[in-house]
Amino acid sequence: MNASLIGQLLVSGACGSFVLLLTSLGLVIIMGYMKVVNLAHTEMLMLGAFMCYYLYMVLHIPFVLTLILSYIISFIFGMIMERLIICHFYGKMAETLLATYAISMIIKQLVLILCGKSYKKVDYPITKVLYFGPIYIESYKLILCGISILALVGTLLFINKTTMGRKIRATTQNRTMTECLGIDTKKVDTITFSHGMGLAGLAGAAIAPLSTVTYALGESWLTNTFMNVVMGGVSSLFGTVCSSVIIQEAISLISGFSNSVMAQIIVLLVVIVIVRVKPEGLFTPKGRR
Amino acid sequence: MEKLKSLPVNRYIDILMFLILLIFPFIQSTYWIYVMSGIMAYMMFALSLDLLWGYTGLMSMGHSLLFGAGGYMVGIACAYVNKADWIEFEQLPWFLTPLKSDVGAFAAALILPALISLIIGFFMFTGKIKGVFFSLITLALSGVAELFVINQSEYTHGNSGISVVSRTVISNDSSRKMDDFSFYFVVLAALIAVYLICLLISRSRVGKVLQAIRENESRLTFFGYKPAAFKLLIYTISGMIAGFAGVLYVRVQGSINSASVGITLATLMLVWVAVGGRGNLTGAMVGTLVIQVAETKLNSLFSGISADFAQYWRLVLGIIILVIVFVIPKGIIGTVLDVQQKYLDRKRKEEILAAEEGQNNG
Repeated sequence: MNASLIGQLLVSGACGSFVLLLTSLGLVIIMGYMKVVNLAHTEMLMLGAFMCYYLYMVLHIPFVLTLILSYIISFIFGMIMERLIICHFYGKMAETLLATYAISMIIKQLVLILCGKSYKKVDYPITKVLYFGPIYIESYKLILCGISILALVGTLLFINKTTMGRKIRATTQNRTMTECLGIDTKKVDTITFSHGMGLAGLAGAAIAPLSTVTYALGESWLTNTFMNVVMGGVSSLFGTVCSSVIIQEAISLISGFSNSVMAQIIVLLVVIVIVRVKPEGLFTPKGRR
Repeated sequence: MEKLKSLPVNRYIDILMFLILLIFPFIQSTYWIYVMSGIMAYMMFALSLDLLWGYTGLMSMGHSLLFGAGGYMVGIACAYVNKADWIEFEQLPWFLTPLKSDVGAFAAALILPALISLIIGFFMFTGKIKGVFFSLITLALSGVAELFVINQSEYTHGNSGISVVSRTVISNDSSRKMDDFSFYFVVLAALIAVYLICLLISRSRVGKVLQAIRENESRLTFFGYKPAAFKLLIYTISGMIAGFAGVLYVRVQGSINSASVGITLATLMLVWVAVGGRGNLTGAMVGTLVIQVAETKLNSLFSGISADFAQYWRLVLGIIILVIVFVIPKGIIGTVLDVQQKYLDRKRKEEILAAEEGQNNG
């Protein structure tokens, strides 16, 4: 075990943590601002990956446009889903979990029936590999980091600087008061949920080149994304960033010494212990709520 | 007699169901006896979740982890005793030594799930992890457990699973195999025993405290109870029952694979309990029975038309959950109980009104 190998593991872990951040961002937003656990999130990732395949590989739309399109399509999908199903279950935890799980099952089986079990491969938009001495990085992963940071910054700006974002925060803090001020909280809910779903679709499209696109793609992300949310907490996006880095770096390092399954088990157990000490997530804003 | 009349309607359904299950093997084919034995093992499993979810309000989304832990203990013991051809180790490693003896394997199959739930529960319940985070952590655990089982192929034979499990009560030796008919009654007896245990727990003082945790945990704390201890207790008991159900299921099937630990089963059982209705024991059993019998029936119906029945069935299951959640969120039995309650209320109101009328007239 030499220094360059550890360096390589750390670098790939860092890239991985941005990917994890991207894939769990939508989940955290929906959970943090709406108190809704969206079990269909990982299936939305899968749908995003399929969108990327059909738009980019079949229709040959430029990759950047593909990402934007998949965000928009997922946004509309989330809007329909929220209006039809989710909006009936606010405040009912078990019902929300069951309903979103049902949706995820329906999405997954529909994709399986319509697209079959075959693996689909999405080409890398750029195949260049960068070398820094003994350490190499695939340049697409760097781009993924960029997308991830863009999505995070964009969301932060959206939540903190725009009028809509202000309405979203107001609704989270005090729904009744917000309604008294004449704000349509139903519309706010729809937009928050759709934005979360849109981010999931975007993330799915962005990670499509990294993995084979199949109906089972969502399942492979399930453990890591939910672990991330549990550890990072839902009250601050900063907590999610930190927990993404911790989880992925740990998984990457431990997989170097052992195997990836062992790494996941150890990290999950560590997460349980950490959550024992900090049940609200890593960073909780003080003096509020 | 008066006491019998005051029983809620679901207890009659229980008794009826057990009677039907008792005469079932005399009127059905061997194939259905085999299927029904498996379903009864699942019913026990559903009961263990009902204790946790229905009574205590802890929605475990990874209960199959405990089911599979029990099943795999017996599975590995059987593979070792019957010398499955994929086994490469001569001696069992130190942490599996209890599996050498039959009783040891059975005890391990009960203790390991209890131990897992005790450890996980300790960290989660004393740490004030509430509501949905419990569900998410158990979900993640179950997902990781499936990977773990596939990964540890030295002992679990990876993806293909163990297929030399003997259908016996305690012994792990395949040569002493029982036939489907007599094993059916073993499973039925176990089911009734588990049902009675669950009923006892739910009607005891502990059961009342558990329901209080579900309704209002902070108020219970205010009364001087420690909710964490009760949650830990019920999670451990539930884990033990799940492990026991796993043992029986594995013995009925004669095999076990990684699907018994994974998310698919863990979420399927949520469907059973949600369809049947939670918090009254009957619902869990009826839900399991309805869903699993429907699956088997439809499977045999459609197997001629399409080979991919499973994927359509899971689509239908998804739609069933949505319909249930929208139309009868309390499940079948919960709705039946509601109707009975409404009827009793109306009757009582009429009685009171009639009595008042009599007083006014007289």
